[in-house]
Amino acid sequence: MKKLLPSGLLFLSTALGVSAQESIEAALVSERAAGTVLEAADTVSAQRLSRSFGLDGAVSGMTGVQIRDYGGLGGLKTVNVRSLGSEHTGVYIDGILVDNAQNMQVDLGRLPEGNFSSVRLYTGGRDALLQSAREYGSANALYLESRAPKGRKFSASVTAGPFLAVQPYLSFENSFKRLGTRLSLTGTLSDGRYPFHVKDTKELPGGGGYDTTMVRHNSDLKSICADAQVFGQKGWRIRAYVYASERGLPGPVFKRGGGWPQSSDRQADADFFLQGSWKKALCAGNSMAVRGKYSHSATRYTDCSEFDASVSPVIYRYGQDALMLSISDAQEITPWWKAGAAADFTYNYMDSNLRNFVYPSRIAFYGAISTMLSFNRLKASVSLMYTLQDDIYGISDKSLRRTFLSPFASISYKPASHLTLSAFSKRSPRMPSFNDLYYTTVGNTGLKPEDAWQSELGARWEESSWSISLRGYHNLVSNKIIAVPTGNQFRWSMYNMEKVRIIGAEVKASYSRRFERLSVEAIARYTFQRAANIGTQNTAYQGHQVPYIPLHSGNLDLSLDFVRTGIRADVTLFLCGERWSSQANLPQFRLSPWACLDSGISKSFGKFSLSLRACNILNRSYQMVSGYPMPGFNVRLRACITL
Amino acid sequence: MFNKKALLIISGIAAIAVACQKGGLQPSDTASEDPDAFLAGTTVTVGEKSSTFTKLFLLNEGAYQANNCTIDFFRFSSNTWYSDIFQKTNPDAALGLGDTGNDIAVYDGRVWTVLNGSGAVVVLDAKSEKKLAAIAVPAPRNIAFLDGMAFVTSYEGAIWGGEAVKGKVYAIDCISYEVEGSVEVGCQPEGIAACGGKLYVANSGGYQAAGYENSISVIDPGTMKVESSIEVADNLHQVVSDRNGNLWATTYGIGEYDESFNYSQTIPCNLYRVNTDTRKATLVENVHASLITPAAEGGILALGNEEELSGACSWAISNVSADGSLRGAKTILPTEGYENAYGIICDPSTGYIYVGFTDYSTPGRVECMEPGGKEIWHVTTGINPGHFALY
Repeated sequence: MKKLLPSGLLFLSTALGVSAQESIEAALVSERAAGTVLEAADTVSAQRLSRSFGLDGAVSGMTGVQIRDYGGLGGLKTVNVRSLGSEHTGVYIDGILVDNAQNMQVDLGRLPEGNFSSVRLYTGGRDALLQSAREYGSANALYLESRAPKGRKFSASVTAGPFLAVQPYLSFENSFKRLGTRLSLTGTLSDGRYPFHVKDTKELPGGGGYDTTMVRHNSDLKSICADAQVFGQKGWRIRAYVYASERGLPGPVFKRGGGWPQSSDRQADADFFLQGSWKKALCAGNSMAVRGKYSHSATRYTDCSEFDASVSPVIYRYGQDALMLSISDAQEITPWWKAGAAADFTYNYMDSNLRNFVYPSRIAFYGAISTMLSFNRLKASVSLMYTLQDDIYGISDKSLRRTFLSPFASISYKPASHLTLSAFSKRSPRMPSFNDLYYTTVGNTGLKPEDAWQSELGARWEESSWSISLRGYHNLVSNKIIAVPTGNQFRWSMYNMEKVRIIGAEVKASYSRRFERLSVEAIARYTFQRAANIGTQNTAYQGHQVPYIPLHSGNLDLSLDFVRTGIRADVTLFLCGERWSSQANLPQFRLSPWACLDSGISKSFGKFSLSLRACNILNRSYQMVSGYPMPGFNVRLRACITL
Repeated sequence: MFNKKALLIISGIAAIAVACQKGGLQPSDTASEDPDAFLAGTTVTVGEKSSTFTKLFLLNEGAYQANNCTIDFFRFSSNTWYSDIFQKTNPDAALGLGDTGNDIAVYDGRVWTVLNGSGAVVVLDAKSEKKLAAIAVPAPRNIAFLDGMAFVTSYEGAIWGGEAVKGKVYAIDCISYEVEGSVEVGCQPEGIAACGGKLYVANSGGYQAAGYENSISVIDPGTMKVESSIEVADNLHQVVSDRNGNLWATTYGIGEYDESFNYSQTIPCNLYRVNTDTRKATLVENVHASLITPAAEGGILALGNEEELSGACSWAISNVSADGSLRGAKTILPTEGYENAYGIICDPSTGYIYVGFTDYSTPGRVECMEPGGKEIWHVTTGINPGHFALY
């Protein structure tokens, strides 16, 4: 997959005949091809992204990925890879981490899919030499590659969705001599009301049960996102991103007495970041990369009284500032032997109007060294990353230090031209978030980093029109950070309590063929995950499956491109086995398996294109998160013009 | 279709896993004449004494906003424990009983459940467990009865960390199930008790940024007016009248941050004797009282964590007589490290004590014990087995 993608982009750029474009593309490609031992576990191409109507939709089909979707356009969407927890998945935009020290969650719903050309998932992280130090310690990495400008182009689209949603999107791109720019503006306006079913039928002597249709309330969303990028021919790029939103938080569905209003809690966000990177080949065989980022985010959460509208709501404010500087260097010692070193510095600060707030700042250093051997058939790399993290309390001179050492080794071998075998082993930390440590009355400042050991064996067979890959893995998470009740029965606190063992297998088979009038691509994915709570506090449920992880999941994806007519069609079937919402895998906590069939069709008429996407065609009612029903059958229509 | 088949296999495995769980209880022989047969209960071995009551009801609070508040009951005559009966006796009730229960009581052949999360009081027939009525009460907490009326404390419009909002007590007619009136009391009223023809309401003030409440409001049920208040201590929790009409109150305890931002409890959950004539409260020394319930021989049983200030767990029951002295030594409860004792009741006809244990996220446990603490039987319950009532 990795090979196909860059060459595809190169093909496009040469076809456009833009020389500056070529060099920008070349810079991007060289970055990707900088040499990794492990290939991306899964990739979503630009074409698939464009038809996906949302980044979460595109990512959800990837092998080993569990999306936690709270439903609707405004519902939080986070990624969990191989049962490690979403805090272990680093989301990188062009190699720079999307940082959230408060809760370590990245909401994919806030990143417009149209701004990216590909998404790659590295289970076990990436082992490229020029990456930032922090990446060496990421348990999993979701790499979002920005869409580079191609010539001069203006495009505008509008998407009309279900639940009275409208999403306009404007983008302008220009590559001129040595400079490429890309600007985009996206908005979302959604009423968010959608019907859902709740039902429970009992096998009782008198029969009975209920099946009711209800409507999701207070799940509206207003958002705007502006994204500007500048690409330099000499390997530098800068990006500025602004996102602002205001939404309702519908909360879980539960029985409410006598017609009391539904949840009226609100959340408003404003995020901003400015990031840049620069890569340069210095002298013989030596190249370096410098990256930097500043980000600010503000959240205003309004807690309203459900029972009395006359009561003034309570407003909680959270603010975060983050600064990141990274430098990395790679040296080619011999044509088959390279070595690299990287150092990152980060600073985080969090502000809040919570009672007894600590006003924490976090200063962290990440240092990594790595070396890589690459022969014709054999590639291997070893790296070591060190984390040093100091938290300083803003209202006293107290500070707290945490350290972690992450070794990482990977190897790949090609015994035959079509066959690649690979293996890796890696230890990664999940540092405690500000919420884990300092949340009023719940936080525990004594927390240690959560510790994840991952090991994987993989094999891939690749032919010109098809490929199949198999991976088996073993993950062990210890010192897992969870909330536990304390000696005082009215209070909870965070502890390093649990231990989780995950044994998994993934199969991905793909077929693509280009006929004269038609190109066909088909992908089948299957994931098996046995994620067992071992060493939990409650021995009665030891060995039970970790909440929300299905034993079996997978998807089938077929896309057809009728080249001459400009018609594209695709069908995707998602299947997910039963899950439990509690660590006790008992019938009362069981979440039903679900199947979701999506299909889309698009046609281009020169500069115009129209696409139609039908989601949940089988109109199944299902929940990814207990109490948060997903929408039933719905249709989205998008009209796009490109000048 | 592939999917369905896989599912059958998975659920088969799950069923076996559930069946293999430990706990030495066997499913009951469901005799055909048994009125509870369709509820499929669990038989337990009981001691020699027999209760004068018919049933012991248990309200499992469930997890916050998880809509899994459930009712279990124990039928003394058949020694059988029935789990999660509401949906079985009321299959047509959409979304079950509701969210986050906070109290249960039996009055005049009816079971009254207070659902804090759902904002409702649900009344069941104690014999058939069929739903009779659901009454909307905003953020209800606890219930007491006097002269054919039910009185329910309510947080009303309060929000955690918000401005001080006075709570209320709602009066509900036990025949018509109509709300007849309400009276404003202190902030975040918790426990309520009827004693000597008056209602006593414990105000906590636990939601306020400004501080705690420290008094009991005394209500005249005839006029539905607060006639006086009794100062006790900060952050009040329960107020209970014992079998001899003596009034008792407890506090929730208070926590604080040290200079390293470690939060810990500094004031324990205390027990007070309340003299309703002099309107004076006296601290009962050396008793930890997370929860209290009337003792069989008069006075009060206090369930508390002896190590609450150190953050460790050592749950014990203190049997306190009316003069505030301890009857015998405290009964130390055997708990598995993760558990907290969460609910208590004493059957006055047998002296047996029933204690609910929870880890807050998985099904809890109820233990039936002799007054000395010797375990007679235990069963698995729903989440957070917190509140009992005898019928």
